[in-house]
Formats: sequence, structure tokens, C-alpha cells
Amino acid sequence: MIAIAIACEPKLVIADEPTTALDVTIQAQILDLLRGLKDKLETSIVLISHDLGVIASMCSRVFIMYGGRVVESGLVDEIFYEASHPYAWGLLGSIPEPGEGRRRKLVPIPGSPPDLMAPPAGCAFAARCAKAMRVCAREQPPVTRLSATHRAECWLLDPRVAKRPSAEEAGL
Amino acid sequence: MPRYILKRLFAGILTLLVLVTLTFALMHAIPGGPFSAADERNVPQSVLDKIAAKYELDKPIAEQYFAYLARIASGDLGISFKQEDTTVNELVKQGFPVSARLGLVAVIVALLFGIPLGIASAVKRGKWADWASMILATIGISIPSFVLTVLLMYLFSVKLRWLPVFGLSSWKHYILPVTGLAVAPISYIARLMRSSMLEVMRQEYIVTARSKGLAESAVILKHALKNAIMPVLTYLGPLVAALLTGSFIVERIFAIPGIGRYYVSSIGDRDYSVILGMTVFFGAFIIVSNLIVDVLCALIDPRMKMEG
Amino acid sequence: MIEVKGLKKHFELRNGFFGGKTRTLKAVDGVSLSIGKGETFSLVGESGCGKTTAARTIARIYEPTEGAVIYGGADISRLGRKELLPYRKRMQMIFQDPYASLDPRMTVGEIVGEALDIHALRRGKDREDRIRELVSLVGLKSDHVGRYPHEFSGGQRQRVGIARALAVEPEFVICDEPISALDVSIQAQIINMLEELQEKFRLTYLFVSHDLSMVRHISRDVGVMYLGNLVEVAGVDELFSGMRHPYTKALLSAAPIADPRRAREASRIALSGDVPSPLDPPSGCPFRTRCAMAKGICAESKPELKAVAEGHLAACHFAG
Repeated sequence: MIAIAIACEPKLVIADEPTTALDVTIQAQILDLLRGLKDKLETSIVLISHDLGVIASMCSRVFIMYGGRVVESGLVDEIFYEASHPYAWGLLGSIPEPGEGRRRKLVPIPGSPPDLMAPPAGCAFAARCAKAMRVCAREQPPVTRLSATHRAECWLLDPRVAKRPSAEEAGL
Repeated sequence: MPRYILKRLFAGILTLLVLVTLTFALMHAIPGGPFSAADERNVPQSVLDKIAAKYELDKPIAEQYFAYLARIASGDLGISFKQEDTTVNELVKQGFPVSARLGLVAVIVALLFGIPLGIASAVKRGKWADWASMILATIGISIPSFVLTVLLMYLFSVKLRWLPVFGLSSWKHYILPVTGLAVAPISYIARLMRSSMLEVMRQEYIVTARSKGLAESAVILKHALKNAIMPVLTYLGPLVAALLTGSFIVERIFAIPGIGRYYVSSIGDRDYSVILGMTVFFGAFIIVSNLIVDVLCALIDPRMKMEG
Repeated sequence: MIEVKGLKKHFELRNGFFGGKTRTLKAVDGVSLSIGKGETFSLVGESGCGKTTAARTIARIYEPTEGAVIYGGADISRLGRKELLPYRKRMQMIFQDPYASLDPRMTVGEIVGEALDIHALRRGKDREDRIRELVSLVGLKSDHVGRYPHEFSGGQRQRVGIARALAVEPEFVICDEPISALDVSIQAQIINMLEELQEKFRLTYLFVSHDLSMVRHISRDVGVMYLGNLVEVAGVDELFSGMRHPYTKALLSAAPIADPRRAREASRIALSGDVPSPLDPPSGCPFRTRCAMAKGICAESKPELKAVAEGHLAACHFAG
């Protein structure tokens, strides 16, 4: 499969969940192959994945999608250490803390994803969001620029909202 | 659900219309007509014209077509060209109950034998019982029913004289025709049931049922059978339609006055209106029985949703 | 509470028509472990390593070829269906695919109720109450009782599967990859629930998974399987910090770390080649064909699973 994709030395490879069904050792081989591709042929890779481990070890920039929209985007460190969207907190809270350290209770996201046939009027995540405000259900949140590379779509980040909660407060 | 049924009915009517149109066009494309044999008897042209006028065969084809459609819409399948004063409706009324009774018995026999055979085969997969029943089933499917029926008739009626040769006046009369009709469906159902059963037995919820501590027979009857019977039910639609509308061959061999026999003889006679009328009747019957089976499947299977 | 001794499960594969030659697939080839009450033991390994087969053989879904499963003092590996029934009640399974493991033509109430009926636990109104109680125990609404599995999302279906397993008040629950078919955010819901239920009913878990980070999160002890054999067993912290078997090292280093800084620093032990076929396993140590440390002795004798430290077993000639 990968051989077919790289046969004509493309500038861009889109890898859609390339390792989802694979065992970790095989997954590691595939990821090594993709990394080699990036380094040797200078191929750009769009990696679609739900595996935060794979993302942390492969990507330079991350776009988090929810309900058909990019809700947060940034450099990999910005996403993993300075996440600003409640959905991003939810994702990071759902997995066990990486590496050693004490065992913390998992913080799952309640409920299930929205029905895209009848999308909610405001923020798609509002129904599952612990920090949701009235405006969230009514209006699509605007894009907030957090740095040159870091953006998020959430009403909590709007300057009109008095107090901005941080990731620490979300229990991370 | 009602919306779905209405939609299907509408589609069925459209199908029927196409069927009528095609059959009508084909009938008229074939050289010769119902009264062309009369030529040999030197019937005067004036008489032929009169006959043609009586049955409206002198009108332009388009006009005949629309007149026919109008009659069908009112439930009148037309009159026979060959048998004086006999309408197609009457032929159907005479022949259909006979064919339907025979067909229904055959359907029941097919289910009664086919399903258990398939289950047994699946449960004993790879054992001799499986091999034996699958070999029988393959033979059952591949032997044409006219060969089998004639063989059975020769053996049981002519040689052994156990069973009557023709007619339908006692239960003994039913044995051979029903066997002739049911052997192929039994074989087909058995194979269908076997493969579907094997598929279901591989499913995880069967493992779940076993891990609950359920006895194997309960696992098979309660969980596997209920899920595996679906393909058989789906096959039931065309099967019921085919068997109830009569078999041309079996009815001919056993001289059973069913609807299939009329159909065959009407083709020989170029009896347009009977051919057309019966085709419409068969078509409508098949469409309706398929619809009924689909609705039944949907009622049984909670996963199937009635969406248009 | 449960002790597995030298458990083997071999499958006879027939090729060709009418029997013919048979070959033996050694899916599980000698697994021994013990789990204490209220503890969680995890079996990890890659697909085809035999962890699911081992779990199912312990649950007596498969008949063991050899070995013993001691449960509450009795060997249950040879009991007939009738004698096994009381043990079935005490030992339940949760499956990987929550959709496939629920009969699509039964409502939630029927699925949960059937377990009660088999063991003749409750009748009439008492039974209905118990079903409702179970359904709310796993976080579903009581009006979900009349619904069919396809009307639920994956996470909810797994909740139904858990309610079904808990219906008979088991002591020991075998969770066979219970979360690997679910979304990340739903996985956490299910894991939390399993932990809460364990606390509430003092459940003992045998947890089968290939998700090392979840295993690390939930387990007390971990057994690593390779080609039908347990190659290393230890307490979870001991295993993740001081693994001795070269396969465990490779496996743990291959797992991606969801932390970019640490991921950049991490080094990986690459494994070459594929897992050998369990139809034709290598002589001696099963891992020797892919092991960087393999010497002559590894082909000659199969290393025993032996203690290398307190509560830490490894099956490697060089693990000491």
C-alpha cells in the first residue's frame, strides 16, 4: 500500500489512519517508514489519526476536528501542553497519563458525538462541554489567535468572556 | 411503514406497466396472429375482417394498446380469442385455486424439509451427514423438474402402482406433483440455510450465549436459527409466487387443470389476450408476494428500517 | 482466587476433503498465572499471540487441550456442562466487539434477562426490577430496556454487554479487548466504569488488551504473551520500569507515547521480521528468530518462566 503511494515520489502523502488496525510493533515499522519518507524525500504527510500517541511522536502541527470543523490547531507542543479547547482537554484527559507517574483517574468526555445530519446551531461540542455557556448553544464561536501558529474556536477564549479557564483547571 | 408500502406499490404498478407494454409489443412483433391459421381453410377476407373488427384487431396498434390498458386498469384481463365466450378472468378463477393449493402444499413441504436439513448440515459441518445432505441438495438443484417428475411417475405410478398417475382428487394425488415441485426448493433452502447458519454460528453473540451457560440446542434454536432464517424468508417471496402461479411442466405431466396449463396452451394458440392477461396476473402476483415478504422481514428484523 | 496451570490449547486443522492430514496449531502452549481476589491481571501481546484464546480457554468457551484451571479450589477445566454451570455464574466474559457479541434480534431486556433465566436467579417482577437495576448500574436509562442493540452507539452497546455479564453477580470477569473497538473518549468512560464496578463489587478482572497505556492504567499484574507462551509476568510498575525479556522491551518501546517531548527522547528497539507461524513454531525459545540477543542455547532449549526478582517472572536464558 505504501509502496503504491510513494511510487512516483509525491510531494504530499495523505495517510488515513495508516496504523489503526495494526499491532504496536508493526505500527512502529510503518511509522518509521513514513518518517523516513519525510526526511529523505521531503514529502509532506497529512496523518489522519485518533491515536494521540502516534500524533505526538509523528507530527509537527496538529488540527483537532470535531463535528466537521477544525476546533483547534497549532504546533504539536501547543496542542499537547497548551490545549485551549475543551474538546482537546477532553481528548487528552481520556487517555492514561503517558509514561511513569502516579495513576490519575481518566476524565472521559460525557455523551457521544453530535448527529451531523442535524448539526446543533452553535458550537458542536456545546452539548458535551462542561464549560458551556448560553452563547455556545446559539452561535458558532469565532476563531481566536493564541499565537502565530495556534488557533482555537471557542467562546471561552473570546475577550468578552471575563475569566478564561486554563487547562490546569480542567484537571490536566 | 405505510409510506414505504405505498412507495413499493407505486413502483410495482410502474413495473407492471413496463411488463404489459413489453409483452404487448412482443406479441405484435411476432409474425402471424391468432386467426392466421384460418388462412389455410380459405376463409373469405370479408369474414377475417369481421373477426378482426370484433376483437378490435383492425384498429391502430396504439389505440389497441390504450384500450387494453384501460381494461386492465378496471380489472378486466380481456377475453380469449380462441375459446368463445371465455374471459381471462374466468380462466384465472378456474385455474388459480388449483395451482395455488398445490403450490402452497409444495411451499410448506419445502420449508419443512429444507430448513431442518440445512440446520443439521451446518451443525454437523464436515461430518458425513453434512456431505450426504449437501450432495443430495446439489443433485436436487441440478436435475430439471421434468426429468425428476417423469422418473418418479414411472417408478411409483407405472411400475409400483402405488400412486395415481394424474388428477388431483385425493391426497395421494398430491404426493408426486408436490415432490416434483418441492425438490428443487428444498435443496435450495437447505443450502441457503446451511451457509447462513454457518455464518451466524461464527458470530460473537453465539460465543456469548455459550459463555452464559446455555445448552447447545438452545443456542442453536434460540440465537442462531432466529438470525439465520432471514435469507430463507427473502427467498420465500419469489418461491411462493413461482409455486402458487402453477408450474407449466408439472401441471402438464400430471394433467392438472391449473393456471400454468392454460398459459402454455395459450402460447401455442397465439391467444394474445390470454397470454397478456396471464402475464399481467403473474406479474402482479409476484410483485405483491415480494412486497409481503419484505414487509414481513422488516417486522421480524428490528435492524431493517422502512425508509424509502 | 483463580489459578491457571500449564494451560494449552491446540487446534487441529484439517486440510483437504474428508479429513486428510491434520496439523496442530499451538495457539496457547503452556500458560500459568494466578489472580487474587479484587485484582486485575492483564494479558498483553500482539494479535495472534494467543491472549484471546487463553482467556477463552480459561472461560471454558474452548476446551483446554492440557493444563488446569483451579477456581475456588476446584479444577474446572474438565467439568461437564451441568457441573460447570455454577462456575459459569461466577465467571463472566465481556467481549471486544460490543455489536457482534449481542444478539441483534433481542432487546436489551431479553439479553440481560436470559442470563438470569439460565441460572434461574429471578422471576416475575423481581426479574424486571433486577434488569432495570443492572441497566441503570451501567449508566443506561431504564427505557433502554426495550431497545435493540443496533439502536445504541458503540459505547452504549459495551455497557449492555457489561450489564449482561454482571447480571449473574459474577466474581471474576474476563474482559477481552473491551475497549479496542471504541472511540478514545468513550474508552475512558468504559474503563472508568469497569474500575468503579470493580471497587463496588470487589470484582476480579482478567483484562486482555494490546493497548499498553490502558493496561498500565488498569492492571495490578501484567503477563506478556508471545506465540502462545507467557514470556514475562510482573507487577505493572515493575514490568514497565524493569522489564527483563527482550520481547517485552521491544513491545513497550514500540508503543507511541502521547507526550511530544518524551516521544522525541524515546528510543525504540526495532524488531525485524514477522511473528513465526504458530503452526510451525521455532525450536527452543519462541522469540529467538527475532531476538538480537539470541545465542546457540536459545535454539536448543526452551527457557522456563522463572523468577528473576520478587514477583517477577521471565522466560529468557539471559534474563537473570
